[in-house]
Amino acid sequence: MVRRPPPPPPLRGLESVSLTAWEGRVAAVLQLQGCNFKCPACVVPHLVPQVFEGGTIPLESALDTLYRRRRWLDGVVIAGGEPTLHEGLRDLVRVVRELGLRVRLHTNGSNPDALRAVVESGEVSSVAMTIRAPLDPTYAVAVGARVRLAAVYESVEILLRAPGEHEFRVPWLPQVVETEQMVSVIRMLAGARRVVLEPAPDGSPGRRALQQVGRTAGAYVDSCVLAGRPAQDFGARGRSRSVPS
Amino acid sequence: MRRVALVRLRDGETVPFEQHRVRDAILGALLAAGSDDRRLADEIAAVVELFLEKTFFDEIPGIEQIEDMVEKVLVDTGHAAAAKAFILHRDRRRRLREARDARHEQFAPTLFDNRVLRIDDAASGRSTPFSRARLARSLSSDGGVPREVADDVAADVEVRLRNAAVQRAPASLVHAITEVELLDRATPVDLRRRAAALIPGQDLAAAVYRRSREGGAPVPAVASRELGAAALRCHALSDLLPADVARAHLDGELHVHGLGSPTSLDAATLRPDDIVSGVAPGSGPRAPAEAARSGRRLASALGRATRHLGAAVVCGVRLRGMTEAFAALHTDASRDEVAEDAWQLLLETAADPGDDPAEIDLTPRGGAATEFAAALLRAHARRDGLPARELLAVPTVVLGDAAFGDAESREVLRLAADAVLRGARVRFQFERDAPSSPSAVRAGRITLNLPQAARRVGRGNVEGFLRACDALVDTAMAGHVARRELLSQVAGAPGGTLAPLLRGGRGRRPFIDLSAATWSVGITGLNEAVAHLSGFELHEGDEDVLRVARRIVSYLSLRVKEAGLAVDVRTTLDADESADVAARLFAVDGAEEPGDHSDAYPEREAYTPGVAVRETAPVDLLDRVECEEPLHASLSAATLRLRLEPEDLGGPDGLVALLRKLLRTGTPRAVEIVTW
Ligand code: SF4
Repeated sequence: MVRRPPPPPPLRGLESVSLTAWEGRVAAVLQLQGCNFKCPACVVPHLVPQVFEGGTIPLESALDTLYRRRRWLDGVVIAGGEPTLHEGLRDLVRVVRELGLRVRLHTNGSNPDALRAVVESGEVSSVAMTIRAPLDPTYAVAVGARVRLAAVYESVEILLRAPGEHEFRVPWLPQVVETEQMVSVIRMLAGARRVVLEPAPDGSPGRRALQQVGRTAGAYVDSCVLAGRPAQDFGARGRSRSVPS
Repeated sequence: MRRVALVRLRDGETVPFEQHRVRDAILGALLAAGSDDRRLADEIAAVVELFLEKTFFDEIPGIEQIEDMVEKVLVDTGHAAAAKAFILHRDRRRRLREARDARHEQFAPTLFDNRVLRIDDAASGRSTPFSRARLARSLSSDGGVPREVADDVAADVEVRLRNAAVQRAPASLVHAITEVELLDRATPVDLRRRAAALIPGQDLAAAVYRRSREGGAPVPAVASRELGAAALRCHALSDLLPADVARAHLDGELHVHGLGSPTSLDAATLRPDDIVSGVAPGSGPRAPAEAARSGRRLASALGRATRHLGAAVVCGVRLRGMTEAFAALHTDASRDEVAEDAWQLLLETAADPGDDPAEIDLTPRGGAATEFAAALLRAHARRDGLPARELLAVPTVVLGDAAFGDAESREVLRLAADAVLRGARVRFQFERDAPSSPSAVRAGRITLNLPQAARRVGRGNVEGFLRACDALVDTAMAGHVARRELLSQVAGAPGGTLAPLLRGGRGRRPFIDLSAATWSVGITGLNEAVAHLSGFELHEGDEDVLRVARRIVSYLSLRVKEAGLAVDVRTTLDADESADVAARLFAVDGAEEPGDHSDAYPEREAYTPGVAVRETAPVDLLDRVECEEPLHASLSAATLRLRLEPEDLGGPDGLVALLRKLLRTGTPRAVEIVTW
């Protein structure tokens, strides 16, 4: 029996240039529809439902834009929703690679099998994973859904072992993931090459509190920085360098 | 059938026939009869024209005959009320004319006398069509003349000007005639104060009472400088520049920079060598030896030279080669000493209030140079004990491929990016080929008003536009040649700020070699010019529109070079990014055709400066870059200005990544990133 190729993932948005999605790179962002979490602090709630009535962007037109822009882009970030839910993810990664662009994947880590497949294929240059809470019952609260903690842990392991670039994002969530919980998340990530501490969209709990988190736990990882802030690295590698105030 | 092309005026002169004048007259009659049907006016005007063509196929119609024809067509087409209004209007004008003729034995302006009389007002730096109503208004409001007398005086002033058969007159002449007319009527008005400097009273008051900042006291020195500049501008426009250049400036065809200080240079560069060799202005005999001793002394020598030079240039001074010079003195300096010298340099080179800040080039090429660059950026960001940010020299980071090479240079870039994120002004200059050594001095700049030229030639006429630009470039060159002449006279005269710079002294070569100076032709409003020619702004258009833009810029770059060679002037074509110039030219063009202008540019107050995409255009960062940067290849100076929200930049790494891309992928000359 001939196996049909999986359908292309539903593409809901294309940000044709971003300087923040892939730190230090000029990147475009492809946003895929559908997520298995319902985080209370989700900044892209329109991408959460599996199906969107309003239709999606034809893949060809997005690829066309990427092709036109390719000389200005360092890479493409595939984000969601949750991209690993879609069977066609690997094919999407492949066609983007064929345009001569590198790929970063944004994931919530709930689907380690799919993650392993793309990481092992070697076609993804970088993976950014958001860890929303310590691996205990608070996780379900932080993501607003039932979650297999073992799966999240497995995803962390996959990324720590794989040789490529990775980034763990640790967001602050009022009353659920306070600075103390952030510290324990970073401890769990010991050995990670890069951790980014993310404040809430309104900036809380403030720069100082996050700096405190960095000072307390940053040494467990190579690099630990505050999102969007002028470079101040609390990681083991960063501490050895002179850093401007 | 031949179209009616000419009309004979009452004095026998022939002028071009303009159908809209007939239409306006008909519309006036219809309005008087209570209808404002413009379409109807158009139709009747078309009928009048048709009849004129049939009747006057082999002769030039007179105004009376055209008016007869209008009357006849109005009656024949059943618009009796309008015809009556028209007849009454004609009759009233005839009587008025007869009364005037009896007095002046001359003709008076008529419905069809379309000769525009322009008044050149050097004080406000523009020329405007003469308006009887405006003169009457200002006489009654500023001069306190009763309204009826004012109307009468204004009408007589117009008659006198028209009788003189001039097409342009200086505002001073209008003032003088007005005074004579007032004296004739024995109307005692104290116009002495208005005429004193020919600078409008409110402008004088504004300069005298202007405060340097909110709540601060007025600064007398600033007022004197501004008013001095206004008077010198008048002098330059009426006496120093050739008449056609002055006229082109007043009409907004181009903008001559630095008119308020006609014997200044436009921009100058200062290098440490100038200090060491003792040619820099303000250096005493011991300065070279002193400056070579320590960073601190070099900084104060540079500061002294910058202040001297700053007095002789309109735009700020640019300091080049600083990182290398200080690095040579910092071989075994401590970090604190380096920081102290960087701080000192910023303090010494800070501008006076009201002047343009200097620029300091930073070339992070590793080692002590990189350390100094980093120290200067840190001092600039902290500003401990330094003057306000807008007075501090603007750091310009010169980027070559090496800038992204080692970790230290990357650190400098991150510091610069960090400063941008904190709202400071930092420029990034790309150095792709061998380090260029442009001339040390830009002597003058004249900027072409591209939108005006494009509007005059009309949609689709790119060739016509380029021909119009040819004429503008020639006028600009005539302006440069006259200015060069003036500067060489200044060099020969004793005293003054510029003379020692141009002459040298005590056996030293002069600091400025006028024959090596460049003369810049600037362009502004390319976006609006392209919109007039193609119907699309730069960001809206497809490849064809961008091709038109590129063609214009590359054509001008060649044309300017060629025109310079012809008169032996070293010329460059630059993007003029001055918002003030873009706003002045916009205002001058707007005064010409207020209705059309506000329709074409709703809610705008200026053209888009230089060759940029409109700032409010709904395009993303890369679209903007893709439209603008290919144009830089034909320009000697241009800056890509990118406005970004701090959130869109993320951290400094985002900006560094963008700079790397711009350096390696595109051809922009310089980038300035502005955060909201
Ligand atoms: S994982 Fe991301 S997309 Fe999904 S709900 Fe959470 S924040 Fe939103």
